[in-house]
Amino acid sequence: MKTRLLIAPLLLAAACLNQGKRAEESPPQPYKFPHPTHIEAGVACLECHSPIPSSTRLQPNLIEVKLPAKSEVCGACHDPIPAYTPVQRFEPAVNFNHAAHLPRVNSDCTKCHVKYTDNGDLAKPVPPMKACTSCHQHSQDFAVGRCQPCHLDLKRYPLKPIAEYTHAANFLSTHGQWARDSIAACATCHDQTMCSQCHTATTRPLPPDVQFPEKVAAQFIHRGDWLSRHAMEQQSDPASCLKCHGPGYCQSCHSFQNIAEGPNPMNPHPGNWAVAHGPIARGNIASCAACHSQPRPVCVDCHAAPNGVNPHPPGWKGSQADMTTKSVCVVCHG
Amino acid sequence: MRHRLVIALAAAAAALAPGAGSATELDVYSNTQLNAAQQWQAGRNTAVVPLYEFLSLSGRGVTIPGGDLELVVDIWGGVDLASPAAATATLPGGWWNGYDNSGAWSGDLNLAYVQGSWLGGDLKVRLGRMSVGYGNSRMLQLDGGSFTARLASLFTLEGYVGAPTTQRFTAYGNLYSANPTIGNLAVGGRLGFAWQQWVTFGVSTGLAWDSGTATREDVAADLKFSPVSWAYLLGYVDYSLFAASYFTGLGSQLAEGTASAVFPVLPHLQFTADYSYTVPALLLPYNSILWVFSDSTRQYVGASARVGLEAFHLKAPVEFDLGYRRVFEDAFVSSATAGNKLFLGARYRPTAAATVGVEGAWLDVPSGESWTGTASGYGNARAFGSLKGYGLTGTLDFQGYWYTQPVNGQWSSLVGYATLGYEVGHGLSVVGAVSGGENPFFKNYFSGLVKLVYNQSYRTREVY
Repeated sequence: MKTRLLIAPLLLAAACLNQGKRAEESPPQPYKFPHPTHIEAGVACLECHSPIPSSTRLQPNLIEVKLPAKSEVCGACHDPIPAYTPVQRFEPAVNFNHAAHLPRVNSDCTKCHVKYTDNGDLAKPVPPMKACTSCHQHSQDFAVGRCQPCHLDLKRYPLKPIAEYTHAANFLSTHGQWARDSIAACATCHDQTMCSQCHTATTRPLPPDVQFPEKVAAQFIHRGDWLSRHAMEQQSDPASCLKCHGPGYCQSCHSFQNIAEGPNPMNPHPGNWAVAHGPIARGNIASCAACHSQPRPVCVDCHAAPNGVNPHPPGWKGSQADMTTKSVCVVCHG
Repeated sequence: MRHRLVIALAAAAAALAPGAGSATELDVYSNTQLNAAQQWQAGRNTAVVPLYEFLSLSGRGVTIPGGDLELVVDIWGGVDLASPAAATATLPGGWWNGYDNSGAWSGDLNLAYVQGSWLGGDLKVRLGRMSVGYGNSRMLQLDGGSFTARLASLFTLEGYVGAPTTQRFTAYGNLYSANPTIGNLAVGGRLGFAWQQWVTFGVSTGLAWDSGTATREDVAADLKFSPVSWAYLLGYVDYSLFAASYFTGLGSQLAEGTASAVFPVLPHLQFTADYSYTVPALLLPYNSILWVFSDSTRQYVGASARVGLEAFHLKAPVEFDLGYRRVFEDAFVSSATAGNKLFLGARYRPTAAATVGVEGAWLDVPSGESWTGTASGYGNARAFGSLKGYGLTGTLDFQGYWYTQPVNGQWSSLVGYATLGYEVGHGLSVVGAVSGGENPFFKNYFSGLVKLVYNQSYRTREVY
């Protein structure tokens, strides 16, 4: 396994590099149509791009062209009419509905298309973004990360420093709420590889603040002397621990590695624990679960029915049927 | 474990191999890192010197019939060069964050999935190891499949099925799984509705079983309402179907609920107010009998702000952060069981290459006594800075903590970090870091790391 673990990433990296080389070896076909000349000659855009008024979305590698009957338009200047096949190379970067937008600009394409391809161009100019923001309130969309439904993919662009972006204030603690209904918007800029730096706590060997000590401005949740304060943080917000770490995660240190001090290094509790533990367990059972989880926790020794102390909270309504059928009940009532 | 690992890597390699299409964008991130630190293992202080390799690959734009393919792999491997840790009866392999391992070597997959996208992105299907973050999935790390379908521009249907990921491929459904969702089968999804920028609403479900025994049975609803472009109201409730069978009160059946008002007035000016309610026991796997002992709740009310002077057309590049949260255990608005959490920060960026910042924090936990019977709160002060120039980047970071009650007989801890990095070029950089200090668990400690980072994107398509 160890050998495969080392070889597999190398193979993947080699495959990636090979992909890049293959693409670089075939330069793109240049565009052929001299748009500026035709526009200066007064040829309307829709003479050739007649499907555009009914086009509701941009599609990859499809330039919406339907050449007119050459005798009517082209023939006014060209004799003979040169042969022409449009270069169908186009990769949309945004979602755009021409049919909805053309009426708003009185079918004047130049409102947005300020540059066009000329004969020999390799790159296709697209409308500048200010053409969009002259109507759309982009600053607000930008502020809340609402990239969709306009942008398809922004991963190609370098991300701006986070201070320039309104992932602000307590974004670290609230970003889950934003992602709950719009994680697709997050994915517009961020791969899951970014999320995984924190959110793959099950498999990752190091917390991000240890792996990236140079990122002093990042809001890493476990930064600093986390070891000394983690019990306080847990008591303050036990649910937040349980969203990333299963009980076994705590147990790996608290029990397996004999972290606790005292005569029994596996027992971190104060001396009067047998008497005092009830209210504390009731208030923070998640901390008990850090060491005393299933299948048969130590609690059962004293609390098991029929002679044990009833541990159930007020309002408990477990049924007799549950006690014999539900595995979690059988532990004490079986 | 080995079979699953090999299959996942083979699928990843096949997707990227020549002939599978042309990946037009490839992001490659490699981090080779040598650490040296002290760890407390099996009752003694032990030196550990692990060598890690972290590798992330993200390839997009691989053409497939009717759509395109994206591949993401995030993997790590490591070897402890110093001492395979002292084996114990419960941990025969020693180290690696406590998880049993067969020796000095270890490794795991964080992510390994392929995603197909069709219909202009309206249909996406993902297979492999992934994270699922929508609805009430709680960012579940999953080995399986998921899909997203946009329907009629108004509705979104998302779903997932698979096995909750376990560390080192060894413990599906095992007691010692580090995944908060324990089991060997998890199913869930979300149906969402969105009307322009005004409203999004969704209902979701999260179910999991461990060999047929339910470990999670939740349904949830989420709402986002934006009456104006500078105000957002967010709400969420997660209801435990499982607990409904055992508790009479609604409060004991709601695992989680949140409500927030966010005001992103300007990019450098944002205010937030939020309230949340949780029943921590209901976030435990339901096949743990511990959750039936507790009806404890936590409630939080807080507000925060980021204020950048640039928002007021001032030239000073200074930003202030302020956050406060009142924590209530069991009873809302009860000072006897309430705690406080406060954060203050300021950052000054005189140039694009320099940042200095100061931060302060305070926490006192509700109920006073923690489960260890020791500290019940702390104060924290921090100062940090970074400076770039001539290809070098240096950082300094100092943090001090003062505890309201002694931890292991100590009232404070002090830690410091220093890093120096150099941009070699072509995506390569070298970083060295040292840290040291004293805390209640180590009278004196010192650690260091050296890492070689390669971070490069291959963009082979035309950028317009």
